[in-house]
Amino acid sequence: MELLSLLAYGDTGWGDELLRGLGVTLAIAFTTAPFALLFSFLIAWGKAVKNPVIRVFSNGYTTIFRSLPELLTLLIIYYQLQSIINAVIHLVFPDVNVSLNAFAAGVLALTLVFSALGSEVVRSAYQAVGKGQAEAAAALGLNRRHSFFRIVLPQMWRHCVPAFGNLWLILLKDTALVSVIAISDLVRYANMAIATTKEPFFFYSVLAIIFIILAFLSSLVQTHIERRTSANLQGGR
Amino acid sequence: MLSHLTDNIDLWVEGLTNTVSLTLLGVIFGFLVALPIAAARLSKSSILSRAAYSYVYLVRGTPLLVQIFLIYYGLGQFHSELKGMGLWWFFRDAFYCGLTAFVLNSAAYQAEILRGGILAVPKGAIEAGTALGLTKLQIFRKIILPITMGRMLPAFGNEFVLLLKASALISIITVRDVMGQARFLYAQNFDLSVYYIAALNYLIIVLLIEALWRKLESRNVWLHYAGGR
Repeated sequence: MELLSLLAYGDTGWGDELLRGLGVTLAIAFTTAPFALLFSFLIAWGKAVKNPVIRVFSNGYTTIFRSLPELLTLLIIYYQLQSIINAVIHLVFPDVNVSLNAFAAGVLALTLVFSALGSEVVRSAYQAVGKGQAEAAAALGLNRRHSFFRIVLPQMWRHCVPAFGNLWLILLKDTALVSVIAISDLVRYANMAIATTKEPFFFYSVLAIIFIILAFLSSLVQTHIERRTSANLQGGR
Repeated sequence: MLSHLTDNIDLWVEGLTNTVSLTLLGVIFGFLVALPIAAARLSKSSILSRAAYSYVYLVRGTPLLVQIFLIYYGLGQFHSELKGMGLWWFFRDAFYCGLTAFVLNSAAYQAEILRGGILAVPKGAIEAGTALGLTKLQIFRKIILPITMGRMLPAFGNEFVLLLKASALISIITVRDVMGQARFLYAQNFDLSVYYIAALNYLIIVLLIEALWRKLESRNVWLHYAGGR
């Protein structure tokens, strides 16, 4: 009971701080997801084109960001981007130093990692739909843009959704890493609370429970989307 | 850039040793813990299978970082009790705590891989074993296990790579693995190239694992086995 009062909302407890942290965590995940989705398609497209430069770049991009630990990618992006930005600014204003927004660095790093993972999902979904569909569209006289957006893409979603759902869960968990680059997310607020209250076991358990709830809610949404995207495959009743 | 590699070669070797041993120990002990979990998951007793499923769900639903913190800092809170049980030397050490987290984490993922592999064994193969008069244990050892292991191979390689990447998290609780050495050296000279050296290390290990796995998979007879015809 004493422990639970530590979660009180307001000045006496840490409930409001944790909620604010949760907001930041969710904001990172929700900002990253659309960018990662978009780049997944771009990189997957890059792997399928004839131009060897684009193809090698896309394959290298996937290999690198799939192989590096997320934490390392995050730190490299955070520090390297900062020094690049400062170098560019020094060309114009020699004595101005800016510090990069950690939130932006976190979103960028997670976008790189998850677009590399997502591009593989998109690629296999494209293969799962099969060449026949695109060929049929071409035979009907649709141009390539129409054929992709009207015929192939709608059928790809069904194959994408389970794997993207999985990636979303991994993304949610990986947001915990951004606390390392001084973003005030859930984990960082929990660490602050622990520094004051000396109750690490309790606060980390609370974090675990929050993440479990997020995972559970996500799986509900995913089931709903899966049912909708495969609606055409369910028999009439 | 290379001076950071050559001047501190002993640090990098130490880091590499830590990273590789953490990953290998994590995967191997994780597999040993995964076996009973997968068995419980497939058992007919609903209590057992539910307990195993809850474990898998809990572990897979929470960030590994939180699990590491929970074991390293969280259990540290109970140090007098742990001292009483004679376990404090183990939970005092960041390396062992990290390893414990990796083993428990990897076990949950590997248990699901195992379960999928066992469920994918064609029924005909098991029936054939029964028809030949093999005992249940023989069927498991001589039919189910080889086919499952073969089927599991790609997912198992994946898990290997994932755990290698995850092992970098142990640097947060002060263990000097490859990532930890990079952070240590960066704090000393603020030269970003140490992170690129670390990145190269990870990239090479991952490519080696993938090459090894391609070789294993090309030799594997059971990978595409779909039952007799």
